[in-house]
Amino acid sequence: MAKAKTIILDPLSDDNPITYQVLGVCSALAVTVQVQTAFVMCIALTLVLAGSNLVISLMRNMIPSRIRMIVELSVIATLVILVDQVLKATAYDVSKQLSVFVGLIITNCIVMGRAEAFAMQNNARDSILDAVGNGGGYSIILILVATLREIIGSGTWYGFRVLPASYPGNGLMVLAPSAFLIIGLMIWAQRTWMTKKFEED
Amino acid sequence: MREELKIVGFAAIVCIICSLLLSAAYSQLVDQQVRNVKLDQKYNVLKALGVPVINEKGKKVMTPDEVEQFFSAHIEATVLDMNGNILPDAKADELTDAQIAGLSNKPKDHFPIYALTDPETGDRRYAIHISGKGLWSTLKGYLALDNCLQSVVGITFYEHKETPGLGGEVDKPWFQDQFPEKLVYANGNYNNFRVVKGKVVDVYPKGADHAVDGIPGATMTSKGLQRFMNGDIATYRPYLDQLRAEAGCE
Repeated sequence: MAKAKTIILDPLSDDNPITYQVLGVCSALAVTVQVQTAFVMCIALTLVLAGSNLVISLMRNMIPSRIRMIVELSVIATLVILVDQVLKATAYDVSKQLSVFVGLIITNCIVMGRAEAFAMQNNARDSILDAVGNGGGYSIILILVATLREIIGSGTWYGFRVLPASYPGNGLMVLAPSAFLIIGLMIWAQRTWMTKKFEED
Repeated sequence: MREELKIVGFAAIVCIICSLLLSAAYSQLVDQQVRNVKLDQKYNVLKALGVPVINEKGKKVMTPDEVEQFFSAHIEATVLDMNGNILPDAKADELTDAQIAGLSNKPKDHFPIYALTDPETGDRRYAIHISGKGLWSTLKGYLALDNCLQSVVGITFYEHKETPGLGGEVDKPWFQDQFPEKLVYANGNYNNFRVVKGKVVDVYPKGADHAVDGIPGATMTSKGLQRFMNGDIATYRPYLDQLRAEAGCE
């Protein structure tokens, strides 16, 4: 049970996929202009991650190691297209908002990274827990970055106005490079804090 | 040798399972998807024409059945060819995506125009289909014009894959709300419509009735929209001229 707890909790902070493993940064830049799109992306990413970790973990003893990455990629791509197709048929409006992000999930390094680093060596239950943990860690950072960017950039949060309408907005925050700055600062803060903790221990 | 065979075999099995899954899912879902797309196009035609299908929060207030009913009762659709001549046999309802928006190796060759008549005044409004390249994708939407085909009534996009938050802002009210009342035609000539970089006042200090603010951080999308919007209006021009003459406008 203690192991399960570590698997879920570690990626939320100390082993965070974005700020510690530095995976999935590309999408963290692209979808964090607004909290709403970031939020939807977090949910979609976590779902696909859980699906791919589960399938890869179930197949882990059968996959020939020389083609394991291409097999992982096939599984991920299939899952993403399936999700996209089902959304288009059943929830067209949601899928319209999501279409770009769903495509981005295929190239998200976290999905591939977790399949390769965790699901290939661990059983199905742990792999799903790992997906939940990493999806959660990704979500925390994404929502944080999006919150900063949307408030400073446009004066709104989740579409609601939080700063007065006279606030002119900060153009830099709307552009992708600002996410680099924010994530860079976050990584700095986390490294400093972790080094301190490590020395104290 | 055994090892290689095993690898090829495994890869083949994975590929077959994945493709079977995907083709099964697609064939099950494709009808529903096409229905959704057609319905969404109708929502957007009505929205461009100023019919209250969507409230200010972006929620749909007409059910799909109501939209279908309204459409068949009030909307009169005509299809034009590349030279702006009427194609009498073409039905707007049956046009495929490739016909109205083109493919990478084949330009679009069908141009639908939808007319809505005001039952009291007899004034009409027209929505034309506009589409073309932005940065990443083909934007597809409708541009609605007033009775005299001079000023814009509304603009909508039903499909694009531009970056959310940047080019994707073409969907947002702040951008689309700039278009109504702008002139595509004035003093006997078609305006060269502009989606300017930055704000209109920076380029035209006195303001301009043929320009809107571009999207910050999405210059390619703004430029693309400007280019294909003018291009599509030019294609529709002969028919628009004819309608303008029939309406008795200057």
